[in-house]
Parts: sequence; structure tokens; C-alpha cells
Amino acid sequence: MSTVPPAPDDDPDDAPIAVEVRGLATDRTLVTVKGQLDLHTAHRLGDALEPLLLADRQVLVDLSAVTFLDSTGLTALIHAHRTSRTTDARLALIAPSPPVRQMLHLTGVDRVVNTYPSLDAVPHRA
Amino acid sequence: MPDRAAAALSLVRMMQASHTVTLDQLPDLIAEHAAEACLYDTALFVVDLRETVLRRLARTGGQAATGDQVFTVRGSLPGQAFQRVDLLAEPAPGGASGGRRRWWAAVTDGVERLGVLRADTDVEEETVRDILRDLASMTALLLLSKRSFSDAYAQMVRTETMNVAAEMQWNLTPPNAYAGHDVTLAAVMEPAYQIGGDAFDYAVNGTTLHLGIFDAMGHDTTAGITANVAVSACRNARRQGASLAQTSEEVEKVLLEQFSTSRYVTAILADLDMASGRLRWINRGHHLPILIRDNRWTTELECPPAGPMGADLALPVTVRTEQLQPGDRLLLYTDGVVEARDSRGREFGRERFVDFIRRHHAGRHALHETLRRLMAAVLDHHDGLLNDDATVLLAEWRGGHQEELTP
Repeated sequence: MSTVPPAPDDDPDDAPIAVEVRGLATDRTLVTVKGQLDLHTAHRLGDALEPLLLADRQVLVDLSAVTFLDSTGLTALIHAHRTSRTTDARLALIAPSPPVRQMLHLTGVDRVVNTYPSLDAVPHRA
Repeated sequence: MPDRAAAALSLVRMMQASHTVTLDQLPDLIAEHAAEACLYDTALFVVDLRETVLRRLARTGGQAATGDQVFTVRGSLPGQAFQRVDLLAEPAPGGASGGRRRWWAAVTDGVERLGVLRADTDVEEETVRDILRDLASMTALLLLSKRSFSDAYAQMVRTETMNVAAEMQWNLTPPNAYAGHDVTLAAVMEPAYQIGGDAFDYAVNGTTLHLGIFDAMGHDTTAGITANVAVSACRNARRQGASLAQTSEEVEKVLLEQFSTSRYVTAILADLDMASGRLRWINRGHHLPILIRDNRWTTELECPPAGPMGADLALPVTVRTEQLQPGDRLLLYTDGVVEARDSRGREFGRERFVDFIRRHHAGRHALHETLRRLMAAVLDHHDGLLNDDATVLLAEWRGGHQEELTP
């Protein structure tokens, strides 16, 4: 299963995915994902998130610039959610793009993972 | 003048003799019994998986056949007999009446369209045509009884190389069409030779029709394995009396055991009470079923998603209910159908999908024929190549079409 891939006239020079990690506070990190989150790239997100999902840490994943998400990409988000439940980290998704929102809604993942429309909307102790 | 009663006895003898024949001896067995009813030069043709060609099942030790070994389903008379599940005659040579006519009879067990049977006869009577229909029915049953252990049959019904995931899937699926007292059903799965991850299942248990459509994540052999495990676990639970919700929970348990949380399967599982028309369904993170009523009104059958099976989201499973009306059609499908994109990036889309089903209503074609054409349109939209599996299951309740798979 997958969501729709980007149209062929998208810029071919961009790397398929870019994952940027930025500390906002000692216990708050913002991870911004741009591009395609799929079979080939999802592990990059997984690798970036793993060391961040520690007890009492808030990890916010900005998905506003994700152009494509497939089932492997969704699995990466589900795994991160599961890890956060085990370690007591606090994971939240920020402004998922339409393809991501669609996938989260269709599968019911949006009923378990906290999602916010913007960074400002995230409570500090969420 | 062949006698119906004598022909019936001959069929029984044929059935008895069939116990010790192999698949490639079947054409000779047919020929022998056909001759008793003034039916000559018989030949059995089987259809390929995608129902595009009819290929002759060769007689053992027979002479090398002439040009009539293969017919396309579209554009030939035998193909027409196949598509319409009918008995058709070739036009008499030179327009003369009397003399030998060549007939083509659809070979089906009332569920699956398997091919066509050719027979020539001088006799113009309806009785002979009835006898030919009976012979075709018997042939269908014999073909079914022998094909599951015949590699020759498997090779004959393929027009391309199949991958392992698809090999598993074809072994798993029930027949792609069903017609019973209250329900007709059809299903199509593409790409036929490279399926990896999609699956459908159905079963009749008394007055209950169990339906399921599955989409395993990924497109590789493991996706095929995942789908296989999911369908098997579903059947296993169901056969032990589990409810819809319980069944999906059992499937999730097995998937978690086998794959930890690295693989999941989305699905819609449904039960239709064929006596009352009451439909119940659950949603495991899948596209919602579509209900088409009076061939005009369509609606998605809402149900909160309980998360894919194997994702372990611990969401409650909601069961929804809907009372169907006679003639109602239920569509279950996977995202590969609606998300197929053309060279300009435009999706086939749900509207076009539903619209197609509505326009090609079963009044003109058998349900399966409608789905075949739909899938051709989807493939066409995508220039003949799908990058995701596309599966559609269409079930119609009390639409009055249950005879459509009987010639």
C-alpha cells in the first residue's frame, strides 16, 4: 500500500529526503522531514529519531514538507510512536502534509499519535 | 437422434472413467463420450489467468493440430461463447442449412469460467445442444478435479512468467467469480503475474457470506507472505467461530508473532447475511467499502479504523451494520485501483472507479466481465503498468443474476 508519488516534473535534483534535527530546549527537539518518506528513505527518519526518544523528552516531527509517504514511511512513524511509549518520551507530529494526513487518517494512526497544526500549538508538557 | 436419457447415462460412465484419467487424457475421454451423442471433433480450450486467450488442451498422441490452437477471448466466436457463458454456433458454411455445424460451449461449474468446448454435429435438435451443455458442465467438474496437481495446466493458463509472491497468491485465492442463490460476486487482482501484498477472500457458510480484502505493506515476496499469513489466520479464526472483531485480533496476533511489528496488513472484513441482507463490517485501516444502490446512489460505508493488523495500535475494533436492499452492490478495493496515475500524474480516482461500475451495470455484462473491463481501464490509464497491486471485489445481493454463470 502507498500514497501517491509526486508528479514527474518535480525537481529531480533534490535528494529524495532531508532530515534536519534541531534542539529547541534541553528537553525538546524538532525533527523536520522534507521530501519522500518511503521504502528507500524511511530508515533515515528512524535512525534520526531513535537516539532522541528518551524519557521525558519531547520530540516533534514536522511533516509539512513530506511529498510522499508509503507504508514503509508509515511504519517508521508507528515504530517511533511505539518506542516513545516504551521509553516514556513524548512524540508529536506537526502539520502533516495532505498525503501524510490522508494516510494517518485512513489507517487510524491519527487516533494514537498526537498531531498538531503548528509548533505553537504544541503544549510544553504534552 | 441422440436421446437425453442415454446421454445422461453416458455422462455417468464418463464420470466413472474419469477417476483414473489424467488431465491430458481428458480430451480423449470427452471425445469418446461425445461421439455417443453425435458430437464430433471435440476440443477443449482453457482460458488464461487474465482471460485474454483460449488455448487448446492437446489430446495425448493426437496428430499435430492445425491452426486452431489459440483464440483471443475478445474478437472470436469461441471467445464470445466464453464471455457470455453461452452456447454459440459458427455460421453454416456457404449459408446452407442442414449439414454439420460447429458449436462452442462455455465450460463452467457455475462459479468459474474455465474455457470452452468445441463440438461438431449434424443434428439440428435442441436436445443435442442440451447434451452439449451437460457435457461442458461435466468437463468443468473434471477439469477442476484434476488441475490442482497439474503443472501442465498451470503452464497452459499463464501467458507470462509469474513471481513467487503471485504463485502463493493464486494458490490462496478462491475462484474469481461466484453465483449462488442470493449473491453474485466477482473479483479481479492485478498485476496477475507480479502480485505482491494484495489478497481477497470469501466463503459461504450457510446463509452467511464472509468477505475480506487485504493489503499487506510493501510489494516484495515478504508482502506476499504477509498477505498469505493474514488470509490464512483469518480463515482459521473464522472457521473456529470467531466474530469479525475477534478474527481480526487473531490475525493481528499471528502477524505480530511472525513479523514483530515490521509488517502489517490493512483490511476490510465483512459478513453478509444473505437471507436478511444485513451487512456487518470492520475496518482495519483500509479504504472504506462502497455501496451502490439502484445503480445511482453511492456511499462509503463508514467505520472508524482500528489500525492495520500487525501495527499493534491497540485501537478498539468497531463493528458497523447496514441493511442492504435487493440489487445493492458492495465494492471492496485496494488503493492501487484508485491511486493509479497517468503520465501527467492524475489519479484514476474513486469517482471514475465508481462511475465505471455504474455505467457497465450487470444488465449487459456478467459482474466479472464488468470488473475485467474496469481493470483494463485502470491499466490503460496507467499505460499498462501498475506500480502497486490493484484488487477489486464486487458483490451483489439479490440482483436476480445468479443464473449468469450457467450456460
